[in-house]
Amino acid sequence: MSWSSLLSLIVNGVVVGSVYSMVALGFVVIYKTTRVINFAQGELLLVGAYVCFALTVSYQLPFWVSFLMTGVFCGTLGYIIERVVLRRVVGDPIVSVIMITLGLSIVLRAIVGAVFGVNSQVIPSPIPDGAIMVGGVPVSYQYLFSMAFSLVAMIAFGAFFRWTRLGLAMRATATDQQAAMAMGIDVGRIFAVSWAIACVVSAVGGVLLATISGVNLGVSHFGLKVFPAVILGGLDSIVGAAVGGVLIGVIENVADGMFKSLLDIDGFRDVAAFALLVVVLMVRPYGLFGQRAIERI
Amino acid sequence: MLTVENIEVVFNSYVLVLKGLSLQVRSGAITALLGTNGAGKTTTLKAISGLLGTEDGEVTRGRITYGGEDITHMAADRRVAAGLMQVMEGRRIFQDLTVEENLRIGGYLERDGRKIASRRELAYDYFPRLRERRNQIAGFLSGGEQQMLAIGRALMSGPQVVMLDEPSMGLSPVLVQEVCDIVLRLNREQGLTILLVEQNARFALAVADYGYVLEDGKVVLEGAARDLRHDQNVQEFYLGAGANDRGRFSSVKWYRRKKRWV
Repeated sequence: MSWSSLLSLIVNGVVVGSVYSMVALGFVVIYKTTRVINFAQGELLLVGAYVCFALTVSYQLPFWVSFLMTGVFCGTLGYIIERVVLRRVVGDPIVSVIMITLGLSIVLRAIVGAVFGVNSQVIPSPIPDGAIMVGGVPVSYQYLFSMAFSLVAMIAFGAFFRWTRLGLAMRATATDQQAAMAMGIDVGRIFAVSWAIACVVSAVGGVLLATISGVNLGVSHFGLKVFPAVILGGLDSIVGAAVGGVLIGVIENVADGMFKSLLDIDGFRDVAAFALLVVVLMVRPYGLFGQRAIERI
Repeated sequence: MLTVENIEVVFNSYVLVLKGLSLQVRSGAITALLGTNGAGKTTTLKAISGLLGTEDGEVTRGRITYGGEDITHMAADRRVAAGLMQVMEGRRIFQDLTVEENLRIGGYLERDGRKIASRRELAYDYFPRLRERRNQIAGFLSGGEQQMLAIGRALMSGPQVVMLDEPSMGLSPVLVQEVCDIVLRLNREQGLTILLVEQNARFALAVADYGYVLEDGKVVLEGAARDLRHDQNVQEFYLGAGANDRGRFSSVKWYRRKKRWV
């Protein structure tokens, strides 16, 4: 395999991986604050992508306007989902909560299918065509844009959790809900906000994906790819989600290309991520960036 | 100022934990709640601070008033805003956050930056160790420092009443003395009303003005701390004195000797 084809595999991997990162970030935000494992994360991406598509294509709104509106819509949706559905199962056994999110994923996918149809859709990108050469490989502006955008989003979220009052309250709630309550934090509101945030970042991922390669209902399997990404990065780490997502994207792309050209085996893509996951969990059970519980001795 | 009238608390809709408990916390005083494990001390505090809901408990009878207002079923965050702050048992600091971030969370409901800053200085003045360790991750503090942080964090909300749940738990005698001094100073200098829950009766009665002894979800004894210190039952069961008749003690099965006043 030549150097340039490897490089282009990597670049592709980073781009797909940055979408994984966004979805993983949403997953981590929900898990961190509410300890809910959200199986509907991929469907939230789907909703975001289709809503943005509808706004840009059917209603002919400028891309950035519809992008913003999608964000608002999905934030509201997340807030409502938490208030209406998940609030009722707070404190219930983990299995019931998982069932709820699985059910949610089915419902969301069905609704999207019913409203927008099942055809593959591409959102016309606001980024001009063209490419720059990196090490002899062309990288399109579109790709650069998605990478940069994900990076900015990640940094923004990192800053949000580190410095803002609400972000701090979310971290406190993640550490100890009852103690957070005793500090005067309205924990219910924190839960709802974390769902809203999770929906927004997933939607951003969805829109990025839709401008690059288009979306169809099958894209919701991105939600599954989130598991290797977040577990690789550690379930409770924002940085971990970002790095894990990109890493999974690169690894599966490169592994897929390698297996295809060297061994003539097709479709290794979907296995690679999970194979890696098993290895990582054997070496570092709390993930690469996950926090070990602090124990004073 | 804070009155608990005849409350009953039920967990999981059938476990009755508090059975008609009444007490009064006078403004500016230190009130102590004594009792063994399971007597209902912590439950009483949680009923006052509104944290029972997270444990599937609720006040089914009676009422709690604070400053003349009925707060029996008020949301926890509104009680904090009203000036009631609980320092929970086991310190419950936010382990993954730094000392300073912990303090900021304590002042979560306060939006005035200057007030937050001045309260933080106040907390650091009372606990200089925290100032030294302001950027450390709180989980790595020693037990004593964590207790200081928990109290300092409570000060950040600018409370009128602070409820301390077992502040001496797991601390060495020297540190217990230190916490004891701090509690007294906060009461005298800041005019804080304090409701102190303790198993360490010696500590509690040393600082308190008034005390209640709880048993099995009810108040069985109350009085000025001075009088309680000399009360024979309290001496025998909580202060370890008075049980001088060793011969008879061993002749009675221990569970029959277990304290009961009735």
